[in-house]
Amino acid sequence: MDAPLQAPLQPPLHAPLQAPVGLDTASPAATRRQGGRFAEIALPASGVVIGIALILGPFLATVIRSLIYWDADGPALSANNFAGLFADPRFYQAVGNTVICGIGATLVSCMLGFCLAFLVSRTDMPGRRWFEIFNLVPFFLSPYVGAISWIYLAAPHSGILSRVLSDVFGLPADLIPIYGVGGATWVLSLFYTPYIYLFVIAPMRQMDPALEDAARVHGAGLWTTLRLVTVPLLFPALVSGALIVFVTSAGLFDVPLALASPRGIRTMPTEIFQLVQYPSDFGRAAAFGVVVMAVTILFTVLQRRYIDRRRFETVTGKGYRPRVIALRPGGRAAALALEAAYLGCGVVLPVMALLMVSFSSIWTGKVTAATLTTRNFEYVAFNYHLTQHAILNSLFLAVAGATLGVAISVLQAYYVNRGARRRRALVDAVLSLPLGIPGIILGLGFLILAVRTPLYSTLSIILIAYIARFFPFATRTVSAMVLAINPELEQSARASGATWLQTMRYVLVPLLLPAIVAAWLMLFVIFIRELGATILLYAQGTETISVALVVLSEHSSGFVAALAVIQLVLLLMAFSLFRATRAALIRA
Amino acid sequence: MAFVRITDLRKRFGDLLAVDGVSFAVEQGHTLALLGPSGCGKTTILRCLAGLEAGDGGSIEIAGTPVFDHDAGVNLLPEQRGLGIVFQSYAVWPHMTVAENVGFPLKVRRVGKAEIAARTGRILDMVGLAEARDKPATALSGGQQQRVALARALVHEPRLVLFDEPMSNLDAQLRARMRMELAVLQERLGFTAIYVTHDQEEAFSLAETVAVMNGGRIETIGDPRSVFARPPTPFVAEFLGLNVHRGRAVRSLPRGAAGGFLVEVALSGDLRVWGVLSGDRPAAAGASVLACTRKEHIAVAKRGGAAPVARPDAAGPPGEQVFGGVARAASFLGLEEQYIIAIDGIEIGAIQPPRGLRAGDAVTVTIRPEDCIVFVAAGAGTGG
Repeated sequence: MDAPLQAPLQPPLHAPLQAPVGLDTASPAATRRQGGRFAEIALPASGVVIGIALILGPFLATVIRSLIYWDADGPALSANNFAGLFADPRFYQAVGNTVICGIGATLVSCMLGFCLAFLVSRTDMPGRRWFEIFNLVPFFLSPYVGAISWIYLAAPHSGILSRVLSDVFGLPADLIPIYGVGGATWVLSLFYTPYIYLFVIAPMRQMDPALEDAARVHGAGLWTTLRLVTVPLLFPALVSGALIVFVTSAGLFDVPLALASPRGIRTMPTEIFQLVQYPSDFGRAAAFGVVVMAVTILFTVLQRRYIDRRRFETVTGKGYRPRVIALRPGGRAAALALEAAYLGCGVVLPVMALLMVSFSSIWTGKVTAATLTTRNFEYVAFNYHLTQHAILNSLFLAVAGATLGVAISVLQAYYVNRGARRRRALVDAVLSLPLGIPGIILGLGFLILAVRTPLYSTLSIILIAYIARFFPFATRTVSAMVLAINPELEQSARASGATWLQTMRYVLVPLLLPAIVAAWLMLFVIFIRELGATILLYAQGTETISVALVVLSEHSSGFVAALAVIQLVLLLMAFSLFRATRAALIRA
Repeated sequence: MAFVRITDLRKRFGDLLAVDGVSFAVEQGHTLALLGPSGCGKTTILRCLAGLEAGDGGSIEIAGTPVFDHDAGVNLLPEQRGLGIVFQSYAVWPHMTVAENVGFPLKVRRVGKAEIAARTGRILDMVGLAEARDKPATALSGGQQQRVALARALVHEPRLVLFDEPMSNLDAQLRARMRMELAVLQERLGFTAIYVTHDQEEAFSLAETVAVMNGGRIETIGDPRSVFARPPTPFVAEFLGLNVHRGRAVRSLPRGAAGGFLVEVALSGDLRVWGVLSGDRPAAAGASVLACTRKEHIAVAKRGGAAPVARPDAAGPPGEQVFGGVARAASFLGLEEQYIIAIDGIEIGAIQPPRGLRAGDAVTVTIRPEDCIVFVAAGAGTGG
């Protein structure tokens, strides 16, 4: 656009036009022909091949390892690992506790998530625009740090809340059972509430108000309408969210590690972790892993089936403005109390506890002027090799992992939406398999794969495991956007003379930018806090922030809290960047 | 020599034969319209021409160069065919300004920036969008976006421009204006055009040649006037909106110098109508035939009381045939009025200047034999 005003000066009607460009067969474009077709087919396919390799590698490694049993004569193919696992009462304890945690967390987060989404999207609760954003904050925080913070808050005798209860109200100092299945369920519920919230808030917004109006006009009261129309219409979203939350919360390693292990309470993820520690039994760990993978895949398939059957029940695609319910003063107070309780327990109290501990030289459950210090931060940031390494490693893993993960997710999303029609559905299903597989299981698979290879105990294997575990999140985000883009936008670029690569560069990728940025930030957040896969794959020198937190938790709560605060700052920065770019991109 | 030549093109989607052995040629600078109902394969042909689909058989030649030849394994990429295309959805890129959209074909051809600006400005002038060049493309109305798409398809001066129902999202007035402007642009730039539409008016007004398609095949191809005046097949007649009635031939008389035959067709009961059958073979008595009449050719008049109605003369074809009927429905279209009239249980549509008829009125209907086109039904014989 350097010489913009020339055109109008020319006589518009009889301006001589240049010789037709005509066919490009004799031009350099023809020599690019093979290259063009090659890139168009090979690049998206390579994304898919990488994705499938990342899934199948650890999966097959785990399955094969589970069938190899070592005895006095050496390794042999057998079902002994499974036999041993199923004969072990600890297996059933672990599974039982995990199922209880998972069901409990699912029920609580369903109730909380549904209520919060309803208050924000369908009532005139004061400040609901702010709550709409803040309700998502726990989604971006580390569950491990959340669990630690709740220890600071509620541990018997030394917890801040426990101290308040005993000092002020004279209640027993070990009233709150934070250690154990109940405590783990509580913290998991706080962290998975935003998942349900996200699952139901979109259909709540897009619900055709006429569906509810019709019930009101035909004689149903507000509560009857809610019970008989609104909730049943949102049920599919709620159920599919609940299935996801159940598998992911049950498979999460972070929270049971902090809250169940200290009391010797077995759960599935911590038990697998124990099996890999000295004296390790990889065969049994792999067998446990196979069982978990089978159950997870079953749940993922169930969820997909369910969604496929119930889709578009309430969402008509039109931009409805659903009816807003005016709360009475009592209802308003109750709504605000629920919001305050959730954000208090999920964000404010844990962050407050972290800050208090991180600025205290010794932790007794109280902050006093005598113990106030910044030494923890100085030490963690400047003097301690482990934590410095950990911060740099985490940043490297998050940036490199998010970039690579998003790159292959764009290729996969292209393949799934634009590629060979027949293979799409299968590829899509295979590529979403890792969605629910617990990090520790995938970590185990990569550990089995990498043992005795140069990758063992490198940052690279952690990077690969991160991408393998989490690329489907990015692929889903990007794929949803590709689906919404009319292929004619790309086709007209091709017909205008652009090669496939030019079309990607000038048309598709710019159009996908909002999804690409969102997916990148999401992966960044996930990688900064990842623990389940890392805990099995790290070695000296490749610790991450989360691993350092676990290692330090046996020594100094001050260092742990300071490092957790640093991690928290990184996560909140990503969150605000997410909000900011989202707003900017939507405006553009 | 033909500029575009398609030979025996075939394209299959699963079990559906979308294009079933289509061949045609277009002269340089001419417009061919592919006309047909949705699903007839017309858009698939266009997409094969553009290289967006690969055919399963046949060949396509543009400017003497084979761009697709199934047997020879030739299939040029879309970007190597040097075309312009305008989609029904416009496919204007929402993340670019008007000028960036229009300049794109030049940019990917590595034309210099100054020249891109000049040529973009010139073409935007031609489509009347000079003012909008720096606006984001999405800020424009549908009609303006359509002009952006048109400018983008023309800016690199392609010798062949493809139009895929480009006007079906515009309102009637805008459509009429765009048709005129498009004709002027083609006159000035001299490109060859292939134009897909389901709107006969659009096809007839823009094209030198109209190909009517049905079920993946070309039903008829010819100049608009002859296709319009004498639809050569029952499908074309029905697609063009004629009344089509099935009946049985009673007798055929040679028409003499005019060629063809006058055929008396028994429609239902004792209702008979004379029409013209082309060709050199008469319809056998009792053969299943179709009688087609254009709605505008059916004269309707109010009938006072139960006045007797002339029946066709049994002796021979009359100059005009008059029937008695009842108006079933009337809808006012402005300059004209559309009627549905029942004659002896047969319904027939008529479009006439407003006569002020209402549903239930008794009417007389007049049809000249030469306005009634008779076809011998496919697989003719005694089947109903």
